[in-house]
Amino acid sequence: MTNKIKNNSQADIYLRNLCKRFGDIVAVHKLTLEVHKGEFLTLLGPSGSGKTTTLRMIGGFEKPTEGDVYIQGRLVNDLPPNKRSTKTVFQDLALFPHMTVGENIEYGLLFQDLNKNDRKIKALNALELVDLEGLYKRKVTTLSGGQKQRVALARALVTQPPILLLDEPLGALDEKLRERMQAELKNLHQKLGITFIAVTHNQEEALTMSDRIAIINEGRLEQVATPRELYENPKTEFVADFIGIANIIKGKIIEDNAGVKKLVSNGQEFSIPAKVRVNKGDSVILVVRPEKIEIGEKAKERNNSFSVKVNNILYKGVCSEFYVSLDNGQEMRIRMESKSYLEDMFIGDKIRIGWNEKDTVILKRESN
Amino acid sequence: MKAGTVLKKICLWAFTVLAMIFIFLPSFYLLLISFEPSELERIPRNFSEFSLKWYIRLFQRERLPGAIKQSVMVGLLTAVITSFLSLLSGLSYRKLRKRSYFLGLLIFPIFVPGIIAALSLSVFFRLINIRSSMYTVVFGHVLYALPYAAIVTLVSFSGLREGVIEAARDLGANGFRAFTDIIFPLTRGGIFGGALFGFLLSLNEFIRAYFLSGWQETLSMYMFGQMKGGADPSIYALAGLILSASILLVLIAMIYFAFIRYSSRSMS
Repeated sequence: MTNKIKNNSQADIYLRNLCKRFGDIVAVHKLTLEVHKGEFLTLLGPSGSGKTTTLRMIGGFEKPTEGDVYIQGRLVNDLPPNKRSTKTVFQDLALFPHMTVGENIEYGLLFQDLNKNDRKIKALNALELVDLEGLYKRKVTTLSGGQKQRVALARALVTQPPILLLDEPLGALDEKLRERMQAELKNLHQKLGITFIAVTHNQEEALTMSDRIAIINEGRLEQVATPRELYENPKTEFVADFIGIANIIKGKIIEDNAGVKKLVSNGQEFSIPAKVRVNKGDSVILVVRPEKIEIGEKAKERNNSFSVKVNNILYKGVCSEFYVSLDNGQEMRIRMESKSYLEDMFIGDKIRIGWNEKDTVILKRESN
Repeated sequence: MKAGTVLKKICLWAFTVLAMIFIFLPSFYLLLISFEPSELERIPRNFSEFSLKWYIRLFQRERLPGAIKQSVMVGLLTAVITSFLSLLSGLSYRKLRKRSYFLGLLIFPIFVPGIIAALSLSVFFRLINIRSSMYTVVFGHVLYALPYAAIVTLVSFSGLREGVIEAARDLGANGFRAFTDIIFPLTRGGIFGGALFGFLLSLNEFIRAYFLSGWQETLSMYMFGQMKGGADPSIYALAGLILSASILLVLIAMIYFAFIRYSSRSMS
């Protein structure tokens, strides 16, 4: 057994240069990530991005092709799942169909030094934790989807693992139940104080539950940050586009006579924050969120202000969305609180929009 | 219900019943003529003529008990070995990528004619100086029954989801505990089904037994011998006995499978 100690007590999980290839297919590529003790970290990415493979390498169900997995400072590359301190809630829940709820939950306790009575007490406590009192003797096959979900959680938590892995934990639930379980998972995390690592392709789920989110795309880590940081300060074009709705303007950096850098896209100039480090001629994108854009009189006060044509107006209750196009053809989406003056605007109108340059993010393009 | 639908239903049922009669009538006829007291090959004329005469005569034959014992022994050994090998094939099937090749190889022996399989085995055993015995028969019967038994076992393994095994490992089970606690309980229907197949196929097999047996004959060899030497109606009694035993075994198996399905309904 390997017993290398890594000098970093902060990281509960440390992935170093992790690679996984299935034949010619690269599932995970040089992924390095630290997960702090007690945090709720979500691996978020489109399907096929390698997030589940990453989680499975932490749990011990896949062996890394290259790189290392450390759990609580210990190198665990060669340890099977039953020798790791992680417990998993599986995507399809994977309850044992031939056992009762009680037997399912007690299964993990069979490998601890406990007598039958202690096991039952712990199982009953775990059932209480997930609000399923009274179902101890039920067959798991007779449970509803939400109940199965809770049994799977109880089964993983009853052994009091320091780290809980959740693979698309709410994937099997309907919309309403999912929202409730998101809140419950977050509560549970706060109550237990242990490390949660979840995998999801649902960004709303990730934003709601997580302390930090790791965005994974095509096997690579794009950015790890808090939900707010990801939304307001995306570091790559992929993150900007993937999280929330983004207006993305592609262009090149130019310098005017006074030496002020600007972005030019299809003949239209846009001012950019002065502190952004870019050079003349760089290909960049400008990201501005729909709710940072103003319409009408206020728009004139913004230092990026344009006349646009309204293509579509969608009333969505609390807010309204405007689809507009600039003179150079650039299409943009604007989201505003639904106010009465907006009712005077119609499709085809020429209106004024504007935003402050400080509300934009400038990113270098990975390719032209 | 419309008249057309009713007609369709009647036709379907009539066809099913006819097919069933076609399948079961010959065996049932044999059972009936075994109760005829005279040496004529016919059904007893009326109920009072039904007699167990040939059944009693059967057990006065001195060679029969030995043959029955041999067949049961061969059958049980075949059942144990085939079901064990089927289990192994199920376990490896789980891990394989090119499953269709594996399945093809496993099933191929079905297409080898029995007489060729029997002859080649007997030549092979002579080549490596192994004397014919009960064990050579068992060997031949395992080769014969394995494809059928393995298919039955693989069906139950195909319903086994990898997730539940991973869950057991995750919760602390080593490979062996994952097998005893999860894999076996969820696939035992197929494993016992494979054993049953092994036993029944072995019990009824003649050619391989004929080529590979030592001095002790099996039941089917005994029957064949009896018929060759001018059939005495007690052979029908024996046929009746085997038929009844087979029906009983299948009934027990059906009840058992129904029980398994009841106790783990979600396995799909």
